[in-house]
Amino acid sequence: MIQTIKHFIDNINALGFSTLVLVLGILEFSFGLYKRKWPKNERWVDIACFTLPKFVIRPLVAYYTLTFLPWAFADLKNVFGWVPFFWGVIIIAIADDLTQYWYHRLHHEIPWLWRFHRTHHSASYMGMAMASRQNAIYTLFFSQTYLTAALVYLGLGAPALVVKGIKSTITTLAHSSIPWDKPFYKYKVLHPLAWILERTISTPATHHAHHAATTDDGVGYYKGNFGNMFFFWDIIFGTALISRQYPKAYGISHYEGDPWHAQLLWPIFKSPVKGSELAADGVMVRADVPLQPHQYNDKHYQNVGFTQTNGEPVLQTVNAGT
Amino acid sequence: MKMEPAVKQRIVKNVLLSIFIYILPLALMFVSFYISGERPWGHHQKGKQLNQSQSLLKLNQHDPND
Repeated sequence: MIQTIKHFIDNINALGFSTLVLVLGILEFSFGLYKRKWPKNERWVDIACFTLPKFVIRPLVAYYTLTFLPWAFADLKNVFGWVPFFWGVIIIAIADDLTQYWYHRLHHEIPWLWRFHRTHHSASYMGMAMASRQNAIYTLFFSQTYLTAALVYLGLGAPALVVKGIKSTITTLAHSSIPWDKPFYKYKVLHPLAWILERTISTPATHHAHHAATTDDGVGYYKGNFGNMFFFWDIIFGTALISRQYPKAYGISHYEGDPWHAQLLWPIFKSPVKGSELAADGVMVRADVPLQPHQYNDKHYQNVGFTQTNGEPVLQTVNAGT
Repeated sequence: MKMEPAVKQRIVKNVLLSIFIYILPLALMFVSFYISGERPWGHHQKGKQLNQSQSLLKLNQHDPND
């Protein structure tokens, strides 16, 4: 049975995962889920972030795993190979995902780290297009990658494969613009399941809230919901917000379209956009500005006059240069 | 721009809790071994020694001096 599961996960890691991303991506485009929100600059950012790091970071991680670890810890290879498969899965799942939770959270809470993670949040849409959108330096120092590789070297290879398969599926589905969790909130009979689900793993509702352009408005919450595979880290550490709603606007309120090279390789390349956090004289963290009509997902929000004050945002003129 | 003291304090508190969470599965695994009487590391060592012996045997079998 365990062999069958390993075989299945092996396939998911090899072909299945790419297929999942491709199928989700096609579905997202077919249903027009990106609406008019995939402009040329953002396309280049997404494509550059998806492709270019693979040529450098993957070989580096392979070098660390296949050359550095055997050289530095020659006697420790497979030393924990005796750990039962079940416990191996639990150990890897906690070690990998909790480390990523911290890596992610610190990039939001320590001001000087924010700009390394900003690229992932600058997209004004959710979906497969932006799921891999990261600054290359942020990806390079993904601490959980090196921890899990070390645990694989110590003998937890099979459990790591299983965890990787499950984690990739959950994080991909949480970034998707397909709100697959909606029925869980809509149908009363599914509410108990929804309660467990949204507290255990990242769902579109909780992760989209993390990508919202606003925070502390009852739905958007970029100050929390940091969990990648597991959401219970946010519950345990008090950084969770569960609203069962989806934000009306994603991204960064003051984002003005920094070019792909600055978003991929800041601080090596700086942004020419005046006032941007990635500009040569950019501040570490800019304060939010009121959203503009074009930043909202919903057409209703794009067309209304934005003068009402009944809980809806009141738009003001934004000077992006400040 | 500096981090707010409240955020800093929460990070320190949560890091301490995280250390406990990292250790928890290892502790639970050893508790389960204690209860069941299992000693899987012993089998692994034996298996390792056996594999080494088998490898040595194989080496000897193919000793070019024969």
